[in-house]
Amino acid sequence: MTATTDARPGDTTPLMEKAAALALRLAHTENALRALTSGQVDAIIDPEGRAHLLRPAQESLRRSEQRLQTILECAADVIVVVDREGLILSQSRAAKRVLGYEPDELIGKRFFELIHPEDLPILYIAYFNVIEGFAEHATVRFRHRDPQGLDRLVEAAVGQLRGFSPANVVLSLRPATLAIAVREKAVPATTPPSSSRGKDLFLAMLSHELRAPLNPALLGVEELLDDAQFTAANPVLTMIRRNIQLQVRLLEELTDFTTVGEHKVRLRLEALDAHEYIRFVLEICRNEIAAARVDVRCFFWATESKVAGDAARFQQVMWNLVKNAVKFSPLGSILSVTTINDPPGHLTIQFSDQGIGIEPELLPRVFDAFHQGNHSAGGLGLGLFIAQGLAGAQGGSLTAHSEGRGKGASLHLTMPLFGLGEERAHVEKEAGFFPLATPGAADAPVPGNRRRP
Amino acid sequence: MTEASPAVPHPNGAYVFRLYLAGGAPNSVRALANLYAICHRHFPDSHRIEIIDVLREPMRALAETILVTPTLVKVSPAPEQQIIGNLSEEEEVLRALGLPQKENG
Repeated sequence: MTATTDARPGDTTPLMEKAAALALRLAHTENALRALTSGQVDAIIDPEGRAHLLRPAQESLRRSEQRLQTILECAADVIVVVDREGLILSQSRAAKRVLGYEPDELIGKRFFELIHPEDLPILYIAYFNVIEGFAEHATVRFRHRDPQGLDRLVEAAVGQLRGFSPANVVLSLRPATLAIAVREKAVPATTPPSSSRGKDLFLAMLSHELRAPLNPALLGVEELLDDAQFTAANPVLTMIRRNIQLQVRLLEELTDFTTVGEHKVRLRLEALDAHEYIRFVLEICRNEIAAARVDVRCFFWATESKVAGDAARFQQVMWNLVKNAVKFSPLGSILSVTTINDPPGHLTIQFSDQGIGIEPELLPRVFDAFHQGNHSAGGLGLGLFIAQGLAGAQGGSLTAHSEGRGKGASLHLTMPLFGLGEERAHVEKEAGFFPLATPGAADAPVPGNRRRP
Repeated sequence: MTEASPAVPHPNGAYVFRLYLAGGAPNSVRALANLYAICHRHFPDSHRIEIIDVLREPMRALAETILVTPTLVKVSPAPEQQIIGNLSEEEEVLRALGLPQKENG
């Protein structure tokens, strides 16, 4: 201190200037911060002289709202918001499919007036437990009246909508699952519920439960991938995303399986050129085939190639078969796809690989759900199960052949030719799935059938 | 983008502004519009505006220790002063830049 007072006036001037410059700089920084917090800044220049554009707050808000809206619209469940007294405040689009109401038709209606009176008490209990905070969520099943006056059995998860005052309730409704419908219908004691149905139901529930947490995780990862801050982590994030997507696909396979188990596939049989479909499916699987370096050879020996099948299902069967064959083909091996008109009036497609083959005693089991042999090749072991079910539903059959372990396997898909069973052509038919797996199920009441005129 | 090139004082010895902005970003566009309006109202015949797009010339911003955009610098009359933001508060802009305010009306 004393040193500065002793110093000559000429020495203090640069110091003062420096202090003034610093103060000015500080003031600028402060102003910049203030502008930043009030959302009036759209770019920041870093000390290296790079300009970083900020995403305008409103724009990102709009985008996240749009995303949320899309999620609501695409959700399989109807999301309904109800106030304390049961007045419906909002509904998502799935209301049409699940409850039969047009968009916005439910808004302003009293939710409790649309419920079967017998089912009201249980709903009241769930509702008030949630609204009073005794339970975070409650799941109930009840009959909900649609605009035609028909009761639809629905299942609802009831939860409190936080951040609103007074408290609102958010309901997530979906068609109730099979077992409940059966109980509802009071199945005669003479037809015991088949054990496979219990398994189907369990799987349907399981796949739903397993899928639910994946969607937010996927969205989160995508958000991070969008974020320029995490560019360095992109490879890891991409890997995470790929694995979540894989998981979703596996669960979809499981859901496929349960639809199949519920005997609810509608088919439209028409003339399909099998050769054309083979080429198309091989084209779809081109990447997988190339990755496994499998050499695919087609031998189209059948002279009649028009089969009677359902376009989407036929394609799915062949897709499953090609994927299965490629999966079990060793690197660089040959996969042959052969068509012949055998037995008469039919077309048989043989997918023969040079893979590990199947031991004779295991042959009958390759079509069992969740059967994977003694190896784990990824997937759930449902591909062939589904393929066989779908083939059977279209009037075809799927069989497996192998000379034994290490000798490759051959899957034969046989389909009836089109035009020989005219009475079946162009007929929409409700397929009874898996006569082998569930012998008693065909007679048991199925809600889908019960409802249909 | 540049409307008037050099940062030399206006021949009339009047008002020279330099606006640092970021392309067509919303606050930048608004700031430019507000600046034009202010200039036309207060110094219709004696102003010059230089626009610097930091996305194209970031080093110029760095040289003048500009931290964020939009930033408006009053180059002349001296002293040099600056204000950050979209310039929507006219009075505040004039006060921050030490410019004379016309009677409101």
